[in-house]
Amino acid sequence: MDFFIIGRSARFALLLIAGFAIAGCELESDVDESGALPDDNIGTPGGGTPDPAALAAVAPAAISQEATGALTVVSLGDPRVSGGDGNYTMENDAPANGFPLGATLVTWSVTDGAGERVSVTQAVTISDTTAPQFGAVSNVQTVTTGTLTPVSLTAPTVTDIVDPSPTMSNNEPANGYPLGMTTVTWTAIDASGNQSQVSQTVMITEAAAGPLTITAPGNVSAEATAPATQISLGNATASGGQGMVNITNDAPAGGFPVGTTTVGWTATDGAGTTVSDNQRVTIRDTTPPSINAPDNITVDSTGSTTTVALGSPTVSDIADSAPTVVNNAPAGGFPLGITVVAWTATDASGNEASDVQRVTVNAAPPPVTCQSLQPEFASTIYPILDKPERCQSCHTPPNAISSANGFNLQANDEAAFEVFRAIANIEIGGQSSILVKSLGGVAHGGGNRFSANGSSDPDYIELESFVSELARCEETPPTSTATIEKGSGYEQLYKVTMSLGSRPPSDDEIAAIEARTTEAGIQAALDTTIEQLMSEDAFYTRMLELYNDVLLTDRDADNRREVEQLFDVDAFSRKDFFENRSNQNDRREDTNYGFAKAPLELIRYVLENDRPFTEVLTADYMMVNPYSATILGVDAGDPNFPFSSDEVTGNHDRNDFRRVDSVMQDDRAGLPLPLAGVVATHAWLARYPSTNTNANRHRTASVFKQFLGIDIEAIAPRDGLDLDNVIGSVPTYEDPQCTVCHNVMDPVAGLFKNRENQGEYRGDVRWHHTRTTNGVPRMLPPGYTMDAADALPAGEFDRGLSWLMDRLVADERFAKQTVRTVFEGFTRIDSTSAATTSFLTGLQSDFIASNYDMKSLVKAVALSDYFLARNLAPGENPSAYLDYGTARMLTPEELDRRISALIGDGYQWEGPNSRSGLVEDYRLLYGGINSNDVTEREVAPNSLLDATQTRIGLQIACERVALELNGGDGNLFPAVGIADTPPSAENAIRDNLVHLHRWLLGEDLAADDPEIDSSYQLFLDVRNAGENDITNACRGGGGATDNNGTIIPWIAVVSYLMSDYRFFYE
Amino acid sequence: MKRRDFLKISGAAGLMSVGGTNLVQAQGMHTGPYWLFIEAFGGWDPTSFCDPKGRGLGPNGDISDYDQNDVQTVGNIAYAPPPDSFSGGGGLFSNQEFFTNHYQRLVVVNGIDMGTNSHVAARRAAFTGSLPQDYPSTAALIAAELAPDLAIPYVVGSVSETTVTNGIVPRVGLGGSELGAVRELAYPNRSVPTDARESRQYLSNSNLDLVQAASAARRQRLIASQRLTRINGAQVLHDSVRDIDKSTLGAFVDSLTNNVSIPSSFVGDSRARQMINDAQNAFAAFESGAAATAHVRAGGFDTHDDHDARHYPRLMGHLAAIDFIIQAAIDRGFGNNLIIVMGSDFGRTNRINSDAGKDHWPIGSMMVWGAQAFVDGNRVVGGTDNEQRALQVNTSTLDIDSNGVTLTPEYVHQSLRRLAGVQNGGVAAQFPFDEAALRIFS
Repeated sequence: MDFFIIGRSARFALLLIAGFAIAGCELESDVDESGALPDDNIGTPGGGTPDPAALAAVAPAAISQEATGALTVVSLGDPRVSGGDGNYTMENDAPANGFPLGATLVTWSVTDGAGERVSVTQAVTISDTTAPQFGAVSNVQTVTTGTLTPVSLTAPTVTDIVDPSPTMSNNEPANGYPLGMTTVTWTAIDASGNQSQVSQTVMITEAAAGPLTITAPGNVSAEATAPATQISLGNATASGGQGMVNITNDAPAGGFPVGTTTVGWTATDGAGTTVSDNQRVTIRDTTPPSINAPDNITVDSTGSTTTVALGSPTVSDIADSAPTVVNNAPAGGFPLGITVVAWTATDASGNEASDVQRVTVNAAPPPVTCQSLQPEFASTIYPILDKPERCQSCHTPPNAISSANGFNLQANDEAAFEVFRAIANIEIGGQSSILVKSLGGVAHGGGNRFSANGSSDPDYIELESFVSELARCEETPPTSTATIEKGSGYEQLYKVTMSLGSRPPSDDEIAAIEARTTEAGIQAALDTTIEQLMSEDAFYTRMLELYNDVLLTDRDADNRREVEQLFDVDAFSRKDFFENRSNQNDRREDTNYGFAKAPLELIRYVLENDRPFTEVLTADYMMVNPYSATILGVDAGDPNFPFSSDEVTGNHDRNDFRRVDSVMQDDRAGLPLPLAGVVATHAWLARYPSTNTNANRHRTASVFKQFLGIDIEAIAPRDGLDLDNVIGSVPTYEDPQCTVCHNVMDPVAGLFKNRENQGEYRGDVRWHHTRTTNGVPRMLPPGYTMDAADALPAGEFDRGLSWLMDRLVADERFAKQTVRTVFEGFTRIDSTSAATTSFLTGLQSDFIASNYDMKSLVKAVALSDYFLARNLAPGENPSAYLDYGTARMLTPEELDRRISALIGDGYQWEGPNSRSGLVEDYRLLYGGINSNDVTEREVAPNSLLDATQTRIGLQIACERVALELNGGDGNLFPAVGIADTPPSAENAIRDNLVHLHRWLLGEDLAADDPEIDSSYQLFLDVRNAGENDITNACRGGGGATDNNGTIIPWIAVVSYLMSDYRFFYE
Repeated sequence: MKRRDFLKISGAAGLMSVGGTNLVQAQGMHTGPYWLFIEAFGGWDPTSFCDPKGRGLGPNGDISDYDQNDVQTVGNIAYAPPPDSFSGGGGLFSNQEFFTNHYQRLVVVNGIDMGTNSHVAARRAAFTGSLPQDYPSTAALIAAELAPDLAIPYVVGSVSETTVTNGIVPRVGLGGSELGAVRELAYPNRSVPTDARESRQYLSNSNLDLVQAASAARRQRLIASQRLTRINGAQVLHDSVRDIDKSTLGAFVDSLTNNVSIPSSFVGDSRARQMINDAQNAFAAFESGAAATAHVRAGGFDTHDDHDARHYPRLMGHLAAIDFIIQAAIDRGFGNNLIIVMGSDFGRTNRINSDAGKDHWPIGSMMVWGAQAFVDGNRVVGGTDNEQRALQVNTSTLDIDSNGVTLTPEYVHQSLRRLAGVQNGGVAAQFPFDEAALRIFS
């Protein structure tokens, strides 16, 4: 009997060796829940009922276990022992090397130190359910030797856990193997009956029948289904060779790409011989990509065009992982309205697919209108101003400074808001005057009305914020021009050539514009025409008229007033140069003309030479004719003198103006004459003379109005003055009621100081601001503003005007006012209208960016919808387009040129008493100006203007019709002759009517247009009236009788057209 | 509403909403009274004539350089003597002559607070009645209310801010024009204006009728098809003016021959001569039934330096011209059917400045001369204190009353509207005044 110890038995063994007795403790783990011992296999000495004190043992549990070999080692466990003396020795009879298959009973003997002994048994059962395992099997291939070919198979190896020699068998055919493959199944069964199987193939091939050959499958074409398309290639066939022939190919494992791929097929026989053949596989891709455009977008416009982030489309393709994607979005941004953007995807095979995205650009939401801020003013700002500690104490009657500075806190109403706006918009040193004064700037009578610098004063912060809002607001929202109708290309062209060039379009210009079919094309053709017009004299005539309406310096062009005034004050020592000559009176007038025209001729020079328009104010040169140059004191021998002696002393054209640079001497001062564009000319200064007490304020107000668009008097309060509280010895310097204007005006007035009242230069003067009354200066120091930073530097005192002009043209209001002058001059549309704000602001920016290019500015106006608008599309709301369309009555000068250009042949309209017509006798009657006491053009018709129009139509028709029909030159009858009568010549007559409508009115009509019908009907009606006595005035060199019945009808028709609205209005 | 805005709108509407109906009202002669507004351009000095303030008055002791005891009166009207520097007269016209000649038909309104010392604002207020708003001149308004259908209802010496119309009535500038040419316009179909034979016309009457009918039809077609407001408005206005009966223009030209030569006493005063010319032309227009109201003006009053030397002669020339104009009207037979309104920008300061000049002073005066049927003359309404500040007026009695109101252009022009009988008219309603009409003139 062997002792073996496992598990707790080991501990027992150790304990036994140590001689300890720890009975009860180690057994506790086997106590059941009741604390009692299990009652199976309980052994007692001698058997029988256990005696609790007697030695007792319980065998370990029976064990069943899968065999692990022929003998299986088993862990038996330990018996449980109790009683006795506690000193136990345990033995069993288990086989030493493991248990065999089947059941084995193990007997345990336990002996205590007293020699008491008990035995118990434990059943151990070993089973085998594990099948045998085959080793590797080699298939067999061999050449047939007959119908059935015997093959001796080698048995595969087999192993089993228990059985060293399992029984092996197979199902091979008894008589040999047929051609081809036969599968043989091997079966192994161990001693326990467990079995397993494995297959082995036996390939019987025919013997070689010739040289090895291979034929690849036929070429294949297929539509791509993926970047690498899987297709069925078919099978290659091989023949010949020896032994088994193996066929392989090199087709790409992952599938075929688009295009043609050559697949190489190879056959290898049992002898290692290889042959190859090719198969072409063509993968086509005719499937277009898939594209889904980005979602439609709706945005608000940010300008004339709007940049829009379109997003990216979703694109896929069967064969191309990255198709090319393009779109046709406009490069410069999107216009107002809906633009359909086409997105196109193109794959590598050229297949295309498209999808569209709609981009809707809505007119930007109306900007905050200034008027809309009034409630905020009323609720927030006015209450602040109305606090005694802020403005109320001074700005509310009847307190000390009633209504000072123009705003009156008497009523929180719209008027108060408008006054506040007007003052807030006045800038002092780049800041709103409201804010500057609120903090005590610019000698604010009330000083600082807010705490410290205002930054911590909630009221000031509120005020500052509101002023900022005012700076950004617009009067009313702009409107779209999408529905403006501008007429045909010819009609637009006619308007442009008439307005800018005082002539009808040329044949080439008509051809060019009628070749255009798109608006862009028409604009391009107009652009070209305008360039041409700007090279013609009439354009400059028009521009100079436009600017004389501003400057009014033509007042003295045709008199002697300026030279007489200048001579009276002894401005020029050479004033007698032309005296006592035979033509002295003519020369005086020519000299006067040279002085009077200098400002406008400077503008002409700037325009003709494409110089920055700022030079109109800053030019350090001057325009002179031979006579003014002479009187100005330039020696004829001076190399810079622009005329020859003969030109001075002869009867040279007084309209020949030339430039002289910085050489002019004023004999009175004996100093160089500082030049500063038109304002420094004697003509301008004489036109706006000063007095000792006016002290150049009139000139200042004129400069502000003409070139900055500032009406200084509009700053003045219009709600009463507090005469009981006039402040100071010099109220214009001290009393806020006065300083509201004078603080703006007086510094600039000081800059004129070295120009005398009639305009002559005086270099050495005592400046106004150095004079005092009761110690108070009479004026502010000269400067651009009263801010010390804008003061005239001491070194510039000699050239105050030049310094002023440099500052003035840098003031953005110069560009703004120039734009307004041109815009109103050509359109007579109110440039202060909110609807034009955006357009004019753009023009202003462009004007500055172009370095003050006046021609570009004029062109932009002439190409604008405001100018070209002829009608509004039906259904549109007219109130949204109040500022479109010129609707401008021609000035007498323009009308005079129009008539001459249309009639041609040197014709100029004169009244029947041979008066010189519209530019002289009729100039004022027809609403013109004389630049003297009539300085505003009449823009609305009255009876005299209307009667003039009627007379013009009748008189010209009378004078021209018979003359031209009788063979005289002219433009009225290109399509008919005097003998062309209806009905046979109806077509010719209609053609001529079409011509007359085009030529005289700029209307582009078809021969069957209702307007032509009406004109033709008038022709017929007059003809049918049967009168044929032609009056003297209308005979035109022909007879007294209208024998053909055409002259009088044509007189009627021409007078009808030449008294039309479209003849007199632009 | 800004003036330009209103112009735009009225123009857009072809003046239909405001003046258009006036332009095409039923034809009819205007039988008067006729209105002549005379403007002293630049700011006259009432203390030199109708509101005398001599030495010893004013903050610095001298408002004007004459003794206060020398102030004279005629009827109920006090007037200033010449400044001492002109005590000899120098051949000048005089206040004495003017007031003596006209006091019985004259109402002087003193102490009018123009509310500003800005020229442009003040003169507009003086002739429109409104300082804060851009109203049409009262002369234009009266013409628009009473005689819009006349050929040239409102004639002016020159187009200016004091003759603004706001589009309610056509304004015709005659100043400086060669009025001989108007004869050509009076008969536009005559090849020789003075030859009335039909055989000398460009077109026979019947053929002219055909042309005009065709032209009228075309104007209507243009208007009907024009949807742009600006152009449509201009076309409507063009059409309206063409429809005006201009037959009185011939009579107007004929009446120009009634203008009399200007006496040699005005040789040195071109301003006075021009004003007389313009007024006589207006009279010709009145006589012919072509016009109902007129405005003429003369400048030279803005005397910031050498006031007495410059202002007084100019003022006397002005008053002499007015005297001549009044007499001319009487001589032409409509002196009893004429109202003349005289005004200026404002007054001049109550002290002499360092250049012996007078600056701008917002307290001014106006005078109205009129036939007795219209104007209750020989009266002064309003006044100023010793420092030339406005005194308040009782609105019922028109007496000086410290509890009354300060006279303003609004009061004066509302009263003028009342005098013209147009204060409740449709056009006047477009340009309302807050102040009530006072019985200043009648």
